[in-house]
Amino acid sequence: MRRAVLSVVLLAVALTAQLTVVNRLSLPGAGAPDLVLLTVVAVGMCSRPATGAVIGFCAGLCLDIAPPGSYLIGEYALVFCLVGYLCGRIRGLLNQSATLTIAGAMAAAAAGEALVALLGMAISDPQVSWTAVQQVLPSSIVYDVVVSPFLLYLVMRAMRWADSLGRDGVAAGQPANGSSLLAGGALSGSALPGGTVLGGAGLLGGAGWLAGPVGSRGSGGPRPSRGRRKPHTPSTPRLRGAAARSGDGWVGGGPRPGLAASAGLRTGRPPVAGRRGRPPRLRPAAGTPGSAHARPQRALPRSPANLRIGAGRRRDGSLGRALGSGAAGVGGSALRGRPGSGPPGSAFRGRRPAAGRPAAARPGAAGRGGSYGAPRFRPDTRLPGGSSNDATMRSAALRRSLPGRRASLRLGTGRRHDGIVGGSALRGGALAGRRLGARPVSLRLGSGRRGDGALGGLSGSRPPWARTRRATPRFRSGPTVGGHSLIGKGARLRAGKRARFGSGRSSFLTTWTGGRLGGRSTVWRIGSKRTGGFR
Amino acid sequence: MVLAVLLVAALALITLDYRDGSSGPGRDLRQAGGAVFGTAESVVSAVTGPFVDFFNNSSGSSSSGQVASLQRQVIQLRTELSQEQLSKAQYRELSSLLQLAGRGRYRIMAATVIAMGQGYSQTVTLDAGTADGIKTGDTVLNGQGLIGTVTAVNAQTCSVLLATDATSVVGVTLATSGQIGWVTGPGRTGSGSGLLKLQVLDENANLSVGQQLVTAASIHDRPYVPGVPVGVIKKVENRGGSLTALALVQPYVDFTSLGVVGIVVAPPSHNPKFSVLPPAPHVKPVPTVTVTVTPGASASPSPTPSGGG
Repeated sequence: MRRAVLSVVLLAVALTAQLTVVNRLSLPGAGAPDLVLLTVVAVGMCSRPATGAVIGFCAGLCLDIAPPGSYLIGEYALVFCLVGYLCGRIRGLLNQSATLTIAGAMAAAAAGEALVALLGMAISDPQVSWTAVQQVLPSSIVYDVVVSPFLLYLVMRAMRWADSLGRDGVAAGQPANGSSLLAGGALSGSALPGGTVLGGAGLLGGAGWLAGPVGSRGSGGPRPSRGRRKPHTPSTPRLRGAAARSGDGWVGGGPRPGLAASAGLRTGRPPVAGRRGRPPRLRPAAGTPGSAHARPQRALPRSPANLRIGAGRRRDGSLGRALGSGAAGVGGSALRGRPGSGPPGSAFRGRRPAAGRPAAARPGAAGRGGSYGAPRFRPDTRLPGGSSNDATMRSAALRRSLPGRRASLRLGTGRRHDGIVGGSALRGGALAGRRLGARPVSLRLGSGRRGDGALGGLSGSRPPWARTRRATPRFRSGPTVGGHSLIGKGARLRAGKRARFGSGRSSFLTTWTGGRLGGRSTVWRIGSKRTGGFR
Repeated sequence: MVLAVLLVAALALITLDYRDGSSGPGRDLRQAGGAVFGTAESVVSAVTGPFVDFFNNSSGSSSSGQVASLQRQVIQLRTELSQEQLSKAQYRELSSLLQLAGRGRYRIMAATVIAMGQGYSQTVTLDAGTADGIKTGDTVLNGQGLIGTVTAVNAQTCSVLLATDATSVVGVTLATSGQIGWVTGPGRTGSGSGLLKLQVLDENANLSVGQQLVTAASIHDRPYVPGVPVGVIKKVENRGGSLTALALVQPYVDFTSLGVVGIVVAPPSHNPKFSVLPPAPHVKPVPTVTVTVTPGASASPSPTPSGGG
């Protein structure tokens, strides 16, 4: 809508400027630049073919009926309609480089001038003679070609400005200039260092903060050249202030409902993350269960400690799920397991935890009033990876000091839209995912699902590899992955497939950003394991 | 799909306008467009007009030493009030226009060019319309001579077809001989080469360079009132076998920088004939100074040293 208004304004300005100023200037040569044509070209370069055709038609019609009426009504409408359509078409072909775009705009302007002359010679013969065309057309084309890059730049700047107007209303904490590149780059740059250490309640609880920047970086922060040409992609995920959105990922419980989930997002500061090198404790953050869930009607009961690892549900982005009576109804598609052996949807098979036992490492934070006070992760020796207790995490799950106990911490369930640590957010995590697949710790970073990942952000564009990942087994409900059998057999909660994507390749992020992003400069640490990370 | 619809619409518009250009939906469209864009043009031109005039005046002033004169002019205009300068220029135009109109006894309505046509047409928009009593077919002139004729009128603006347009045909009379012919425009050409093409009905007409042309009388003085200076013959083209005598005419008016113009709202009661014409560019007798070389005069320098020696 803003673009439409802006296009109308631009064309009106171009039309009046053309008729009152440019045509009256006695420029050397017979021709003059055609600002209306160039504006149609530039606007067409920013829009779809149909839109470009409509804009061109309207502009041409206005030029036809504007007072010093020239030809037959409809001539310019016909030509500009074609030109606008053409520009919308070649935009898709030419968005590889700025040079190609400029060249395309020049060619379109020249073609438009030639079309005007041709049509004039065809249907308004005495006025447009061949001799006049010979004299006027070359200089007109030269003027158009010269002016076209500048006008293209101006129009694209204006379009981006209009888009940023639209985005500022939604985005919080985004730079005011609205440049998606800048926003994505800056925020992701500041976000990821905090997010690379998987540990600490602050980080886990504030994972919604991660969700925004990474989500916007994942597909909303396009490359410079791409972003300039396609400033408005309908599926571009935006950096939203509200984290409790569909697909937003919480690693751990979300913040209190009253608290803005995006406090970190707004201020641009990451929540206090755990220190690196230290065995990260997956501590239940101060959170409210279900705060990251997209569907409030399926709200889960509040429970104090909800370090949830492995959400069993589509679109829920919690690292794990809240247990309880409500959880049984909602799915547990990951583990439709044996009743009694574990809560449905729980990443950890095992006995249902006893109520009242504090599971959280920080009981104070975890003990905020919930209807369900059951600890989720207990120092239960039968649960190899499920403990959120410090001791268990250190001893059993994360450091894996006991040989038989493989950590089966699963981050990311491979569900569509569940954005845990992984998915397309971790495009740079292709290597990490691959490495993890080969390891006993079947930590899956990056499930390769559409919409998952981006650390919870909705990634709008379907990743190219998503098609092949659909049949990936997610959670085994067989005995192999059960918590009990894990102990004895040393089996791991397998991912089903090893490399989720990007095996043998460099990271997508690295490829897309030309190496500026995506390198594994820091690591995710689960326990003492380096699982790969991203800059 | 959208493209196809729009193309069909455009073609339909062209067809409609081609079939009956002066009536029907095309006229309504032009009226609406004139109402909207004419107003916008007059507003914008009020702002940008001085700059355009300045550009045109300064660029057309001198060819040699243009940079220096431009710089001088810029400095001058920065120190002085440029608006005053331009008003002076407009005043000069207006006074010459009034003189011409007085000589021909035309009743004119002064107007200003606010926009110029696009593409290959040679049309301008003036800031006078039906509210000022302008009608289609009125003659437009300025202090130098004929400009064109009004082709479309809106409430506040009117469109003028310049005499240089390729579709413009002006009936003319050759000064003093009274031969009848017509002048067609060259269309849009490079600046400076816009010579009109004169065809005289009498193929045996004795055309000569320097002959002046005025508009011939039209029926009900439309589209051209009689007696308006058109131009002067610059080159005679003798084409064997042609039915008409051909010549190229240099118009009096500089069509590249049009400013204040007059629209003739009431023709003269009688044909002014050639009274409006500027003084004929009579061929200046080149003063041939015949120096008779006398031996004494030519030798006078030499005898001096010889005398001295």
